[in-house]
Amino acid sequence: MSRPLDIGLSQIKTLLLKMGKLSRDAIALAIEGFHGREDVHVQTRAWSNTLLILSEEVEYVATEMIALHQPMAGDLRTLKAYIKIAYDMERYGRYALDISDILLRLGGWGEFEEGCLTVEEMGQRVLEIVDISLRLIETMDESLVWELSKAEAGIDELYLQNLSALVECEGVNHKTIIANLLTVRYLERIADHASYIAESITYAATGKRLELR
Amino acid sequence: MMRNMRYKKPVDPFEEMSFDGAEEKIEFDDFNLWYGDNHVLRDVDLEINASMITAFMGPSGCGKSSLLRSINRMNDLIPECRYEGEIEIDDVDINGPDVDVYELRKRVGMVFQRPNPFPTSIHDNVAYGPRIHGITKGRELDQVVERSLREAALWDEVSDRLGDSALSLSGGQQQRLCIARALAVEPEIILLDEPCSALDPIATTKIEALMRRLKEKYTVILVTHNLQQAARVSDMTAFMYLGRIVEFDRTREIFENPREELTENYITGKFG
Repeated sequence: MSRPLDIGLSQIKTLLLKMGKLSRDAIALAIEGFHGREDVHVQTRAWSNTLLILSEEVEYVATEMIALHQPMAGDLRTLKAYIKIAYDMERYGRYALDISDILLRLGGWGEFEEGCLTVEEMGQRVLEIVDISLRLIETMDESLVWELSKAEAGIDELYLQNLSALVECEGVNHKTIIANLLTVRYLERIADHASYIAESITYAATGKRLELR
Repeated sequence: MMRNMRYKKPVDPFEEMSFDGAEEKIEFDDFNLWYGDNHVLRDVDLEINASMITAFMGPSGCGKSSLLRSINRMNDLIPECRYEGEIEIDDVDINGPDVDVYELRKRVGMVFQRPNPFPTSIHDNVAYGPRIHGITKGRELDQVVERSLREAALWDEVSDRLGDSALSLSGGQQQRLCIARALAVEPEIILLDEPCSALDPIATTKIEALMRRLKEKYTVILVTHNLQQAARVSDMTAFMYLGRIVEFDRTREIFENPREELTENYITGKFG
């Protein structure tokens, strides 16, 4: 027989998976828009706002469960993890919006010499790590944490490489530098939030407080 | 930024409370208890520290009240009760041949589920114990009564009507009077058997605040069905099931991250 708490936890998980799909779509669209110089900010803004609303809904249901059912042990940890994950998802959406807003603010930018930057690869890897984080929420399979951690380290490495390349580049239009700099920064932050999701899932599943840094 | 995976040490607000260095007050050593053929406590090994609140929790019939009543030998009053193993208070076996059970119960006070004041005045309820133990002078007795009522956080509410019947007090006040009565004989240990189960939330809050104050001076042991109450007031919690101690740990660990699946299932309501 289901406990009322199980129904609430399942309701939140469904919301998180919905947020996951939405945030993944937003990030993918923002990356596509960046590379194609395509204005997608209206759509990413709409998704980002929806993510904010869903995040508040998670908080509302979670607060209700705390007030009415006083969750403890595994239930308490899961609830705490879900609240944090909702925030991470909301941040996914916000960074997607920030990436798509670059075009709006700068109006356009030039190209770097081929092979100088790896922003496209970084974007691809960020989508992969977001996918892992969503699978983690769905399955709570701890082995994915190690996979995610490895992926995050790779993204950090690309971020630092791109940062160095941007610092050292010469004769490049400043808008081109700013656009790429902001994008790699936002992508790196998305990967950070994927790590936070892995930390939260580990805590929910085992009670261990993992720090992926 | 570049990261390495590691487990971080949790921020523990109770960290400065050194459990390792705490003074051990009560020790159960392979303790077993039977009521006739009914084996109610099984192989209990437990160390309870002084100046802390320790909660015994578990489902009905798990033995938590029997364990509590073993500490002041209340079980002696039950026919066909027998035990094996030892319970030591300050390293002295309380079931030893030289132990005076009345002296033991002076050291180990007890408060029950339902407030049970005597049908006498507020003053005489508190004075009862000290009188039995030889304090008969009016002034000295009055001082003990005042001290006990103050410690039980009741003095301000009754100081102008000490001659009134104890039965005229509210349920919460009666329970605090019973605590004052237990404190009047200057015990070292206070046993509380579901002390708030008959009280409303306001009276419960007052008793819980009182428990937290009492632990500064006394070793407090609480039996409760109320998980939230155990979580709110106790420092250490023992989870019992079918007469055994399943898990004994810091209260925060028990309620956030229990080691045993049985404990997890009980406190999350997945039992049975």
